[in-house]
Amino acid sequence: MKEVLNLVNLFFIIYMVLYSTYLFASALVGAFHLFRREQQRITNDQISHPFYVPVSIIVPAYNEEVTIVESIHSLLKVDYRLYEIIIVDDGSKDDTVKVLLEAFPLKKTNRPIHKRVQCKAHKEIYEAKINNIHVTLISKENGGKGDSLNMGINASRFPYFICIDADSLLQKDSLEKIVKPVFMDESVIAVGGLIRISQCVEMEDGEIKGHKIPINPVVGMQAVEYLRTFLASRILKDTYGGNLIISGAFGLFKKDIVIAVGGYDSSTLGEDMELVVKMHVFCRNHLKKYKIAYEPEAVCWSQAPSSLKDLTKQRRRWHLGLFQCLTRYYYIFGNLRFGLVSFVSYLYYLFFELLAPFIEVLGIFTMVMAYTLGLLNHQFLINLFILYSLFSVILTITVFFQMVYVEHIKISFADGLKAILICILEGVFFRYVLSFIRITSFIGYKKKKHSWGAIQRTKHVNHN
Amino acid sequence: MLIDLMLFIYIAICMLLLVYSLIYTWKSKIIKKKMTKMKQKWKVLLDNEFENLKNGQHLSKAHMKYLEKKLPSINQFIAYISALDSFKEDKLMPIYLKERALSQQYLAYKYLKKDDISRSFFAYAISLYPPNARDEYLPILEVLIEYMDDASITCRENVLRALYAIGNVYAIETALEFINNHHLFHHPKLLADGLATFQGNKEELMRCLWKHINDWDAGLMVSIVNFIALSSSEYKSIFLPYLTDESVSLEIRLEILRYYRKHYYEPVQDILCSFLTSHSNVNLSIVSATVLASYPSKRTTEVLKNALCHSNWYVRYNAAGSLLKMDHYQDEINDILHGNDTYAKEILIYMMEQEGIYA
Repeated sequence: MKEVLNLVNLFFIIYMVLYSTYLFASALVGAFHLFRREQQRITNDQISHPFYVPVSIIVPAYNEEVTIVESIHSLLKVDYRLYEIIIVDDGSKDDTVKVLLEAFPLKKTNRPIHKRVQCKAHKEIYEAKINNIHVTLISKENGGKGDSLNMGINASRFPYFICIDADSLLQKDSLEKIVKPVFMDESVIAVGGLIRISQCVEMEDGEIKGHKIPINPVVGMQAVEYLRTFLASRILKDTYGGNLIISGAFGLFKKDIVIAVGGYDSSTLGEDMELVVKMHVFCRNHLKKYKIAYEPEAVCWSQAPSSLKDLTKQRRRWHLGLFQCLTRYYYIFGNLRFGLVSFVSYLYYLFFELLAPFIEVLGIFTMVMAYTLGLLNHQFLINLFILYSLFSVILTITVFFQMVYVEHIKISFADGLKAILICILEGVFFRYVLSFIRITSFIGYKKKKHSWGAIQRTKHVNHN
Repeated sequence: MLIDLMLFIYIAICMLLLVYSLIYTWKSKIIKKKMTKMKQKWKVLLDNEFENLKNGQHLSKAHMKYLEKKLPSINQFIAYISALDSFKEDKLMPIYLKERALSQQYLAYKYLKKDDISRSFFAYAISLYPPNARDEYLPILEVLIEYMDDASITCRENVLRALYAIGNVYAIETALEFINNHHLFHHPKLLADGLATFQGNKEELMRCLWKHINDWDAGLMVSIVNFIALSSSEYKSIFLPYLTDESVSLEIRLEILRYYRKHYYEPVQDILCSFLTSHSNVNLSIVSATVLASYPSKRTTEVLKNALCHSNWYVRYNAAGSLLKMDHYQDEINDILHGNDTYAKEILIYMMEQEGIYA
């Protein structure tokens, strides 16, 4: 038994070393990247062009009557010359369509849809030209988020499309920024944007008027968690083109490639990750030169769940989506053809995301066993926990202040302290709550594996 | 233990990063103040020099030396450009730029040894305040083109912008030759729109670039055809043989097709109709269906009517759009609306709705 426990002990030490190294490398690479970006901004080492490629913005909506009108207003104010907006209502049970028809001069049309990817039939189509921007509203039978996005792809007129959540707000320059990688490299087939929490910002006509640290700790902790993911981890993966996720909240895609892979899969909960992984597989199998890029300057402000109940729903969906995706594309595991996508990204998602909560349970079980057998080294365990939590908290605080200096955000001393407190709470408490949510996410999996997992929305705090 | 030590090292480095971020935030405030002071100082110096120019004098040697001494520092250069902006509208600016040319030449060499970001800024500064080298191939042009070697795309774009602003035809040709020979990717739209801002003789530039049709990459030539389409209607007969030449890259042929949408040329009508009726290449059919809107005639209408039943959705869609743009052929449109072809009717009715014609 002692040998078994020693082996488990060794496994945990290697696991922790690898995970800490990954987090550390993310923060370091993120810092260098952000510093270079800052230098480029100061010296005008940037491509600025009043308009780039034409893009279709697809907004899938399901029971979004509370936020949809405001989101569309924000999309209409984006600084970009050539784009269209396509709202796809996925058979909402609330008044999503009604509030849109009341808010915008949309007229019913007989527009034919060229179905290039599978999706459920449409019921009605409305169109309007608002501020010279073509807006389409498609009301369709319920089929899930992926199905709605497929309908949007079918209705889009332009070679690139952007998917955006119905509760998201874009900054004025977000479109200009997200298409930049396409201009830099012809092999770019998709670009992910930086997702921030909209409860942390006050916006007016697509411009930031102020930042704030949310009072709600659930929101605050998600805010720092997002920062660590988007300003560190995604930047690291972008260095070798290994991002396996482009958030469904804001991402740009080259339409012909998405059509070639069959569009979004409406049978999965993580349709955003599934699409990106599928694109990796398609390009690698066809020996096509490609790049899936990440652009941290393209910012989208998305509403975070503000209650633990909603957060549970969201994370459950994410975790099951991750499970479905990693198991469907199991052959990426240890596959030389996929290079770092296999040996870093896939392994990261497998061991540090999907299996992490189970590994943590195994850890607790081992500790109980060791305690029962009188083999537990209390002092070592406490020291390690304190040291690891300290590392994790300092890393998050570092990323937070990197964001403060790069974005020239003015925060008061009190807000600075509040942020540090949230980072501490996130490091020593919130991540264990998330682990619990993830480990219980498989309960009722069969019954609810295709649902949208609706979250309570609130109106954005806006100066409009 | 190993893990303890490793975590301690990571914590220490994270702390350093954190301290660096805090110092940087604090330092950037100081730099901001310092830059304002520097800008003020440059403004005073420039005021004196413009005053001298006004009095018919030349730039002082001290000013030239000062430029050479201070401007290798990028912060000083940023402050200088910012100060120079205050004199942008001054009618003596061209004289100032002409007289400081030597110092810019010196600085161009200095920046050649610097990193990508610094070179990019120098090129950007030149694009704002270009030297007078339109008709003369000054050494600064050669140095700017050298900046493109092993450079980021942003640096390359800033160099090209500087060259467009200078307006020297030979320099643009050399720069594009460099891009072509090194197989560098520069987005066709950036190139085409950039070339359209060229400040020199555009006719000469078009002539000079078009002669590379057989030796430059298709992507580059697409940008050049696009630029010609934006700037000249004199290439109708020159382009025509390339349109039907199947050895020419398809992208170039499609771009030439689009040229004829903007610039009417009667002899091309038959070719457009043949592209739409033959099924050799669907891309040519799709673009032809749009271009034919600029060629209204009985025959064109007939071809477009038939294209409404084409197997390709985009051909049908574009043909319907083109048909509706032809005002004098209402009878043909009525034929379709009262006919039995559901495909053709559906798309035409929708297009009419869009145009606000259909009730």
